[in-house]
Amino acid sequence: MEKTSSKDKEAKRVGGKNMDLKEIVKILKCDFEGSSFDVTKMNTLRDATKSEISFVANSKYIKEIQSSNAGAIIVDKSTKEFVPNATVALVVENPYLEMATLSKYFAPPIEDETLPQPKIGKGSVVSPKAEIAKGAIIGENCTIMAHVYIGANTQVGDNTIIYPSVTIYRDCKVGNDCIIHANSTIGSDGFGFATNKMGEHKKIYQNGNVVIEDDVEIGSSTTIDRAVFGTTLIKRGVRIDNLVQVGHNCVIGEYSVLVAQSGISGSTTMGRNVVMGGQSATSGHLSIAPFTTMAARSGVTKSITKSGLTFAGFPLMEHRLWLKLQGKIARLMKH
Amino acid sequence: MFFSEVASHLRLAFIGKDVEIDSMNELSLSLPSQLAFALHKKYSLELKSSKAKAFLITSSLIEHLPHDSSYIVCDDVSLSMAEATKLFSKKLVEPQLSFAIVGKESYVDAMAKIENGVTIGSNVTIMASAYIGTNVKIGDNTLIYPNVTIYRDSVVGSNCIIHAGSVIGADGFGFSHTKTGEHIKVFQNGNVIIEDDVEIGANCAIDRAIFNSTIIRRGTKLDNFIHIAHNCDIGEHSLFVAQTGVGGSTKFGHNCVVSGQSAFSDNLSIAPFSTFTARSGVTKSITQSGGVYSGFPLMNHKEWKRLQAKIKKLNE
Repeated sequence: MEKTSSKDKEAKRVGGKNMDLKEIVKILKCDFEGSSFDVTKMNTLRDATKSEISFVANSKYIKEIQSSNAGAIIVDKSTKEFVPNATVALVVENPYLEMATLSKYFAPPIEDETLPQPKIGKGSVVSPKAEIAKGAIIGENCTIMAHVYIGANTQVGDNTIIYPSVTIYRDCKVGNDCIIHANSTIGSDGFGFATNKMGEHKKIYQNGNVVIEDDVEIGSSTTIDRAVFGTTLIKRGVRIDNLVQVGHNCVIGEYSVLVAQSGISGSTTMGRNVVMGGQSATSGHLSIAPFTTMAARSGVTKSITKSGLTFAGFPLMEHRLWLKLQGKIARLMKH
Repeated sequence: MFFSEVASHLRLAFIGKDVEIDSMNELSLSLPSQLAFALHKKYSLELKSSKAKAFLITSSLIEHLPHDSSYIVCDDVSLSMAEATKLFSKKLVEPQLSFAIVGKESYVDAMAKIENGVTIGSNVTIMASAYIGTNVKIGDNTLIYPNVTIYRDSVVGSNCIIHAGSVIGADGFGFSHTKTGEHIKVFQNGNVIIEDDVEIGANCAIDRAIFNSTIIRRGTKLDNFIHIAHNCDIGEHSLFVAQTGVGGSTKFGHNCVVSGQSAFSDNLSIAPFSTFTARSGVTKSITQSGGVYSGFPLMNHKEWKRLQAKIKKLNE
């Protein structure tokens, strides 16, 4: 199954495959100096390799430009001078917007008829009402119930139970001994858009994936978004309750617990054994130290560097301070 | 349906001509073919100018009825209205309608269910276990992921993406209450309209209108777990971040930004270019555009920061 709209034809031709730098230059309507090469994918400045293309969202990334190993970087006039000699600079007016344009060309088709038939391991039971896309691999002794959808190239380990109406998008990995409860969605697109001057939002295609390690349990109607580049990672032994939102590119540390209706914004990284109470939430791009506990309704907006502490409230404070504050607020009402 | 049938269903007498009615609507929007209702004295002006020919009203409002109206006097208009909505609710499945029309180069997975009366444009992708209800219309190039449910009569535009597990057009949360505390369903006979270039995240819920439409306008993007209640109108190019909820009939101007876990009361009107930071709790309309707000109760973001600093000092 491939999309074939005339608008998408260009994207479809190269969808998810390598692209020559010359083709990219044509799409971005810019020039380049140096020799062309085969671009395998898009990536961040930090993670991009020689065969990959990156971009500069704003000038605070200057250090990362200088140390980037990317084969090519999309920059504007002001950041061009920081591009290393070995890297091709593609100068455009709005690098972030052009990155969004280009991301579409690296988006693979949703399903791919050219992939091999799915493989189902010994002892696994797959409901006839479930759909396993081509290229998927299911391990041994799994139970896959009705109306489950497993996308192209997705891998599921051994002994994993997937309850009805769970959707797992393409290219994801689910480990051994996992349980995913009904109606959860794994690998849906992260919420990423580049906004133009007219206030319209252009989709940044989310070409990464989700990896769920072994022994993870995920409640019902939870959503875990796929990474824009790279991976959204749920490490071993994590327990996730119902209706939890995990944003793109998050890393949830081993044996962490996310209680119902909590929300983790994009690119936040947690150490091991973090506990997020019910309806608690974090901002994006934070780092939470191991063994941190957040009480219910906590709102975390800054990174936590010291491990083993308990926090509460929004704005966040240490739990003992929050208790003291609540006592004071209660007394305010007595006068 | 004739007005007399409504009266007999409600076990009440009607006064005036036995006019024919095709649906129900609120006073201000009702057409001559629709049954309207007036709950309270404050609707007397709207009642006078209503185009409807048939009404459910309280006895105190009889004098404000337009000339030549047919009406039923109810003890509890709200309860009678709820009972009457049942008469106009549509069947979930209508086998007598013609088979779905699916446009050129569209792909419908064999595991998806498309009801009769559906129209699907060209280059549309509908994935496994998706459900497309009776009379739903879908534009061109739209992508519907697995396990999405679209209830009957909904309209989805072109170039939309709806992620897995989302539900479009479920019943709005509407009940009338009896004296003994039971809740009588107000059947939600409206629909949902999603305009072009809208993206809806995973496990969202967009409820259908009581009457008329819940509207998501062009270019708006919803993250995961967004709840949009019945009769909302979400302006063009707005952004809603995960776990946000909007109460019934609230209207947003264009280019609003709503951060995670925020919530809005019902019947509000939000000016264009308003921004709400995470966990905002909005209970009043915003009339001035371009503001940035925080907190619950809601306040200007700068003020909220000052307040938080003061609260912090309480502990020193």
